[in-house]
Amino acid sequence: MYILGISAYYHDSAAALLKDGVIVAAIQEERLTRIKHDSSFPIQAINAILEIQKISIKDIEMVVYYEKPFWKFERILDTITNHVPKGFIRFTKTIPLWIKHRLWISSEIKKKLKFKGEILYSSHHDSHAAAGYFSSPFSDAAILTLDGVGELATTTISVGEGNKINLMAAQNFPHSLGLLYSAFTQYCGFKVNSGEYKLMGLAPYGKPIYKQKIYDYLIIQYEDGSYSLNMKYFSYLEGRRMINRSFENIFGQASRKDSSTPTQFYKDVAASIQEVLEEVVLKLVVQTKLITKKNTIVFSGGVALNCKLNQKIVEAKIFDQHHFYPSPGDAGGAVGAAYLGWHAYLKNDFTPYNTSEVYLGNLHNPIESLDKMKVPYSIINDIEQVVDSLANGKVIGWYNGKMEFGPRTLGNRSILADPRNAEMKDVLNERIKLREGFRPFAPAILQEEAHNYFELHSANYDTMMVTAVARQGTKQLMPAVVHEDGTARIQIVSKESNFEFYNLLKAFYLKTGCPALINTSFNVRGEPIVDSVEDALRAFIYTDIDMIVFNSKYVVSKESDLSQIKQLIPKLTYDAD
Amino acid sequence: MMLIRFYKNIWNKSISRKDRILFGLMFLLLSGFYFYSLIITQKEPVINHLVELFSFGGFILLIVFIRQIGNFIIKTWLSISGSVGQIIFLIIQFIVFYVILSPVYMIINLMKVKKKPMNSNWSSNPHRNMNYKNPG
Repeated sequence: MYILGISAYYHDSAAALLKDGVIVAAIQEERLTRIKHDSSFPIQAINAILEIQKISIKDIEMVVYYEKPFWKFERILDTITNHVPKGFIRFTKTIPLWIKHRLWISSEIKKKLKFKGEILYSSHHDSHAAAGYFSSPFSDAAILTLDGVGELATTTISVGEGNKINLMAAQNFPHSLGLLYSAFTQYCGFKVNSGEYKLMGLAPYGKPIYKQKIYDYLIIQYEDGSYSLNMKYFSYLEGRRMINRSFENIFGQASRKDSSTPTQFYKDVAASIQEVLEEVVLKLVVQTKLITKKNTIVFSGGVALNCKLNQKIVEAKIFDQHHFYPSPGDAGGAVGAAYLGWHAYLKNDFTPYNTSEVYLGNLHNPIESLDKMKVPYSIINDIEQVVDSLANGKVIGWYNGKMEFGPRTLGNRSILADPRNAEMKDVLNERIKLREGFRPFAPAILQEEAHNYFELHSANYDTMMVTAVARQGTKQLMPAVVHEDGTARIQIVSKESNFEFYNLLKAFYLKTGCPALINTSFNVRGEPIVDSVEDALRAFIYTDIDMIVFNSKYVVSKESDLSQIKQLIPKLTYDAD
Repeated sequence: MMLIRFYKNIWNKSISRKDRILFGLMFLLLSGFYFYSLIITQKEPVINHLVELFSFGGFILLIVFIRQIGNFIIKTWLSISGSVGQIIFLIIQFIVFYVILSPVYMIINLMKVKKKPMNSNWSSNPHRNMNYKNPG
């Protein structure tokens, strides 16, 4: 039986296909439309998924949408009418979107997909919880979900037992840790809903000297772990901005507006809010333990993208085992919706996965595309040539197999480089990724060596969702991937998780003695991660990537004449994120 | 004596419906400015001042349209020459009415159920719609 899960119309639209209880395909719409965080109905993703599975829409028996649109609309209307007249501009921007699309989800699905089967609706936080829980290796776990806001809930504690997820506690809008962090994201000059990870990356460069001010003015946490925000300082209830002048007056400086490197002030603010977030969430984790009495925790929702926070949760050892879903944001809601259709609605039993399956996207045939575009390439029979290039300081595009689902690239759509070179971070930031200089890079590391270089705890480190403290000597060996605070967001690679990537890492280790490579996403700033061969070639041609390796075998190098390809593949410009 | 003559002149004045409406509108405008600035500077939602707004509006309607109460004030207002004088008179009237009404607002606020200091923000009824066929 096929069930299609859909998330759409807020940010990060996606589609996920479940077959007899197993997620077999999942794609974010942005990868196909090339519009970052694309929120439109994921028609291209759905068509691609059907193509991957070689089925048609007639084979889908059920579609599950990831939230309850009427409930969400009720909350939005309530908010606008309670903030007359200041919410008027928001009203004029928001209501037409609802009237045009969001109130007519069934009609949209039936019309766009020509679908005649059953259409269901899960709730937003349940979708997040289900995505995390049903993709974990646990059939008995506490589930903590934190995000900006769904229909109404911003924080939920649930319990997963077998095929059921039961809600134990909820906290509602406007009190939201996700929105608090987004407010500071905006204050420090980054885009809301896309720049939060930049705020996290900036934090290690500062000191948390404004932490007490945040507690004095902005947030209060109670003994039972719940919290309140002081809405006097936020304007997301009525306006289009997250914060108002009173917020800025707390810190004595206006929001950062230009795109230059943040000053020490903003670094300190970033450090302060990061520490506050960690402290507040740890108390929530304690409360989760008290309420659920479980030994395992699954963490989901957009706030779970904060991998530094995840490190603190793991190190606190409040729970014995931890699972962090690799696509905890709204895109993952499509996966959760599909799971809920299968387990909660149809009441099918749940058998846990062994690993987080992330390679769920398109599988393209590079040779077909390269031959069609007449791109000159060479064939290598030995991965040693790639290893030699990496060891000599080359930057390589690594394109293999199915595209990953989620915001991290895990060895199938990656840019790889030698982490032993301290200057590689600047090379990658300035000449390839074209992004801010303070942004760190992360390593992929061999499974059998990881514990020798990083302090590991009981969590899934195979999907870059948790940072780990580097052991002594690690920074000397791989300076380009150990961040300012001595941590790295690692991906542990095993033969089972990614065979080709493992082989490359192993060969690099045997040659250089370093068991890791810089693994960053194959894209430039403002662009979604590449999907097709053409996307990969575009990123390759117009940056300083030295070569692309397709399927561990086919190499396109800058040494070849690529002038003809530039005519076929024009440069695109993207808004800086 | 002068004062008695002054008020006798005022009392003999006639006022039209148009005068009443003009007075009411000017007064509403002034009170509108006041409440808007209150809402903007204190950054509170309108809902916190609805009692004041409606009671003030009601009071204005009262003095404009109920002759026994409003005639004297409106006639005095019309007797003042010059728009600056008239505006000053309106401001003074606004202050006087606000002072008269303040005890009323205080009593209303005292009668409101006092919010207990919060010690939790978990939802008392975590709403969960388990009907998968229902879009909310």
